[in-house]
Amino acid sequence: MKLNYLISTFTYSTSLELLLTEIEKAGVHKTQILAIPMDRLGEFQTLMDTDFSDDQKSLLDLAGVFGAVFMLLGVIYGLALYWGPVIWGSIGLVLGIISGFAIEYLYKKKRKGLTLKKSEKEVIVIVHIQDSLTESVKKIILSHGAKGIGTVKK
Amino acid sequence: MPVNTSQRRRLIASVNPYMTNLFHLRNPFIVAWWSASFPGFGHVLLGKYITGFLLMAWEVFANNMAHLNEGIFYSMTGRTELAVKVMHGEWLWLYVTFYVFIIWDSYRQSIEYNKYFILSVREGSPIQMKNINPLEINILEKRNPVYALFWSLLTPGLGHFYVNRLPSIVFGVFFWIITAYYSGLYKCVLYTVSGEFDLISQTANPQWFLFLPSLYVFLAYDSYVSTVEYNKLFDRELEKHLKARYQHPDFKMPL
Repeated sequence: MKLNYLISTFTYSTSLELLLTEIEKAGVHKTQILAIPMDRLGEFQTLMDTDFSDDQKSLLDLAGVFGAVFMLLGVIYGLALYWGPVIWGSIGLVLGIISGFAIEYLYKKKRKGLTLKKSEKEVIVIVHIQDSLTESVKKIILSHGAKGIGTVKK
Repeated sequence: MPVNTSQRRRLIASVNPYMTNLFHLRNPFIVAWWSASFPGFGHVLLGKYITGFLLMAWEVFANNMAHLNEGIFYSMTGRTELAVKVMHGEWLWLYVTFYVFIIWDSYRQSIEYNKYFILSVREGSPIQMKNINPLEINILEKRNPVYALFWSLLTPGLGHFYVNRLPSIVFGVFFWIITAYYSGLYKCVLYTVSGEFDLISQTANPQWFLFLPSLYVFLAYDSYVSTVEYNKLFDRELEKHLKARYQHPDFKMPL
């Protein structure tokens, strides 16, 4: 019996799990499927880093802070100005969000620069499969959002 | 190989029909800052929802009794005498002690929770799962944080519908409607749109209006961060499942 390897990559998602159960239903035993979740590089970096200040990896921390402060200032002075608190508050909010985001983005870019590229979390799925099933399983894999697929024939 | 949660000391997350609560790394300064902008927000960020909402209710009540927001408004627009006149000293005293404590407490807790989170990841990060009961459903799913942000900016509270967190839905919408009503926000929006700027200063109530900015931005920020962290939890859970089920020793590796 000829056996092939189907190798594909995925991001974490519900459709990945749907795919795996579907392949099993198509007659592939679970011992013929190998899933290798890639380590999350960003998280590893974080846990090794004792400085907790840039852990949340949300670029909106400072945008939120500045947005609220500038909006508050806009509302306070807007209450005393002709255009009123709605317009001045909105202006403050937009300016605050933009400036906060810009500062945090530039700071993180400068600090991490080349050392930490944002890695997308991936899973590699290898299916060890007889020749007769290869094409149908390949179709199933392609219809479930695989990022890439490769075949090794023996 | 099912994870026996009782054998582990530290749960990393609890998924129940009403909401998902989890530990994740937080910047203690950001948490403390939100506490300063509106007492209670810091505790909500940490996942202490009942504590947080009690503190938010206290903030609205005590601030109104002390007329603090009005005082801030008059001070910052150069009417210091008026500010001193409207504020109530005895309520200010009570307000200040709570205020400082709340900031300190949320800062301290977030440092401890960060340590707890790291230890629980090293321990194997067990997740408690209970998705459904007769009244509600809540599953882990991949969500787009931009949608949470968008809906929350449109009407604060809606972002929390998207992330499916019942206490935040109830309190977020509740606080927003109360403050928007008493501040006269939506009337002011209508006057602004129709260009009747003269009517705004008569309608807007500074005491309540000053609550709005931090509430508005916080609810958007919180729903955004929650979406991101729930997505990470989804990945973590799926990773455990894949490793347990699809890494069988009988799998024949290619040479």
